[in-house]
Amino acid sequence: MSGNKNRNRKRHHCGQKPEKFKPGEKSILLIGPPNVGKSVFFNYFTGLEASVGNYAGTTVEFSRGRMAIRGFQYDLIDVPGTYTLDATNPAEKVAVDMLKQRPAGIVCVLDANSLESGLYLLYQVLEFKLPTVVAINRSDLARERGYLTDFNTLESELGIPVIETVALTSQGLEAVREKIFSAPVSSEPLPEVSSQRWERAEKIAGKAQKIKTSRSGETKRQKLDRWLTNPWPGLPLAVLILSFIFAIIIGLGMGLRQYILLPFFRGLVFPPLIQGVEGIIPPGIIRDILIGEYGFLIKGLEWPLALVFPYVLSFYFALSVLEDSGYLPRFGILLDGIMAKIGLRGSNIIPLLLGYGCAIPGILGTRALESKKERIMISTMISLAVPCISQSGAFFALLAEVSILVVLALFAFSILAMFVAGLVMDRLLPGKRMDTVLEIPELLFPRPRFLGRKVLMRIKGYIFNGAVPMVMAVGIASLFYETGILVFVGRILSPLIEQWLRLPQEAAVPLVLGIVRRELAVLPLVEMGLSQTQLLVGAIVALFYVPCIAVLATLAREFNLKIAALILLVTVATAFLTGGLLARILELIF
Amino acid sequence: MKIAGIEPGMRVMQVGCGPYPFSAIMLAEKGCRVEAIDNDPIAIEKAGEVLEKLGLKEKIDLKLIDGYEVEYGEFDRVFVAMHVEPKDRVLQKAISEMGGKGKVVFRNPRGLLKLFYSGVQLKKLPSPIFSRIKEKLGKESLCISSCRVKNLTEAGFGEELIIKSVPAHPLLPALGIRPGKKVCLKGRQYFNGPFLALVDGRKVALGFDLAQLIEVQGGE
Repeated sequence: MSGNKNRNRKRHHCGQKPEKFKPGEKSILLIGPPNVGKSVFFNYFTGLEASVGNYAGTTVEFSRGRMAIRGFQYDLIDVPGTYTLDATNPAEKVAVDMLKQRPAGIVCVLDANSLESGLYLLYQVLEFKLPTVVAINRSDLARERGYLTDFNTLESELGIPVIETVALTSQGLEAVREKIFSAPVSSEPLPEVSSQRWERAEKIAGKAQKIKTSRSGETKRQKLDRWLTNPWPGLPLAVLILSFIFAIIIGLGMGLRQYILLPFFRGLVFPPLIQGVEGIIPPGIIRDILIGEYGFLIKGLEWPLALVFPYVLSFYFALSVLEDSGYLPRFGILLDGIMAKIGLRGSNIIPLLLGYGCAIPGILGTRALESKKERIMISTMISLAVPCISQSGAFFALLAEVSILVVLALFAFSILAMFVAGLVMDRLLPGKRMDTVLEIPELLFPRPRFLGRKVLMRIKGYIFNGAVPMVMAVGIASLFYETGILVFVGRILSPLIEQWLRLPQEAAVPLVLGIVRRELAVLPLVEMGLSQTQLLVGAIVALFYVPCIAVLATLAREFNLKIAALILLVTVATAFLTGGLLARILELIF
Repeated sequence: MKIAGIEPGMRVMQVGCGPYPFSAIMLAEKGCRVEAIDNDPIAIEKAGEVLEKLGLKEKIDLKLIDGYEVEYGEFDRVFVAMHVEPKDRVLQKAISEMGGKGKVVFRNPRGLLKLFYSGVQLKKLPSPIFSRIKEKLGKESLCISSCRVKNLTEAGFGEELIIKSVPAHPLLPALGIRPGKKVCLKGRQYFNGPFLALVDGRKVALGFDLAQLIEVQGGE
């Protein structure tokens, strides 16, 4: 009966783009708490072919891939991490629903370092009477801490296979694959209510795990952790780390662009391209569209690949290092007190940081938040004042040659604007601030193998979702430019551009293009020979201006049209207001 | 009201209810059995009319009596309004009579309001402050408990403590924050930022408001 209902629901939602999926009898579920290393299991079993989908009728995302067991193919599903199955949040509800679809088997990944609450989750899973194998992961870390686990006792108490694993080094993972199908359905009588479950979990954990804390001072890892999570020296260290990251992003990006990509395109790609086009197509409007001032073949390749791509690469490298090391939650709690001033939580820093890559993952990253106020606030802040990496790349190209200080000032201004926007929205929107409850995962040294994979996936995302639309947008722009439409628009907008913003009339080009993509509000300014004041004004307007068409579509889908329209209005109004005011203030100073 | 941990069915005393007994009404709506007192006959009369209009007459007991003449023994929570005088005597009496389980919430003036109302000097309190919330318009609410437990925000670094009680929050038990568990405070942040606690092998960041509601006791 429930299957029928779900099928209807599926049909109901099929107009939406993201893949919808329900597990069936050919599926294996990977279940466990957050931060336990489930995704490492997933990557090991499925290899590179994995897809991310939405669970039918929800916004909860999960990964799915093919896994071979004894020559048969199964769907391995990485269920969103849950501490319990009490169904108190969207992820838990999805996990429960997936279990109800009766998959072929379950791999329950638990943490050797917090066995007791892991067993509580396991007892909830066992209630579904499915073949289950238990992997006790991170056992190396537990041993380092003096937690001695007796896996035989655990196995006999639970009546199902229990395997010791260290996923990062692949230890025990083949045994997990081996045992999935020898796994019986547990015949032990199960505790029925929550308090009994805790009692049983406590008893078994106590029996199977002895804690021998050798008080020989703190380990290096603990010491570093203490440094990073306390205000002193955590806050200065955070400033240091962020400056270092910022320097890496700009330095690495600029180096790549200046010494490898620009010479490559200008020296090797463009000359034969121009020659070829000149050979085939006679002078005129079509040739200009292809290789003229906004030539589709020239700017369409140079902007996304030579100007922006290097920063995309360096940004995602830096972000992935931060993510994999476990630093982000620590940074989050350092900022929690300040974020509280605008009604947000420290952990909200993660979607905001994602927004510096691209606004869309940032906005989607707010889905897991229970409070709608938080979601709208963060999405608005990202749309208004967080430049995506393409736009940041364009800012670097535009401003770094003037002075690196101007770039820093621009970013400082964007953070200030976010804070002000947060303050205003916190007053205007109804709803209370949520309590901070956040597990701080262990600090880890990022593994190059996983890091490389992550960066690669993100680069792939940029090429298909970022670079290709950018090329097309440049194509349309060059069509408009060469046919004179842009000049016409420029004349209409001239009171706004020339008198209010004090920019040359050509600046209509970035303003029109900027509607399509954020960085296109910046890039055309590069070759206009603007004065320093004009550069700054142009950059500020571009920063706050329309948050690109794809982002508006995402906002409309995630919330509704009204909210998307409101955010658009706020961003455009802020852009012209601050731009005009800044033009006047700078005029007074210089 | 949040810091007192109100639950339906509790017996609550409101000292100094005034002509418009808002606190008493809110408590009654949460399902508490409320007794509201004031030593001003006019206030009690007005309050009676208000309750009649709201149809809450059965739920709230009004009495004309002084705060230091009441027997506090049978109450679970006592709320003392800001204008009650002499506040410290009322607090002393309430705490000593309520025994181990009760809590007293009172309001102190801040800033300009100090000119009009007297505050209780914190050093003179009969038991430690359990939690404290600053409110708008120059007031603050303080909660003191009649037994010697403290909340997590008062714990010292590295002190091994046992959790006594935990507020209802779906994530807390799963993260190992349950009564009877060992907890150790590892760090705190500026600007009333979160507290870092080590429980069940996990490091958990707990917001200030939540940490205030977690009661702890010294270990063995």
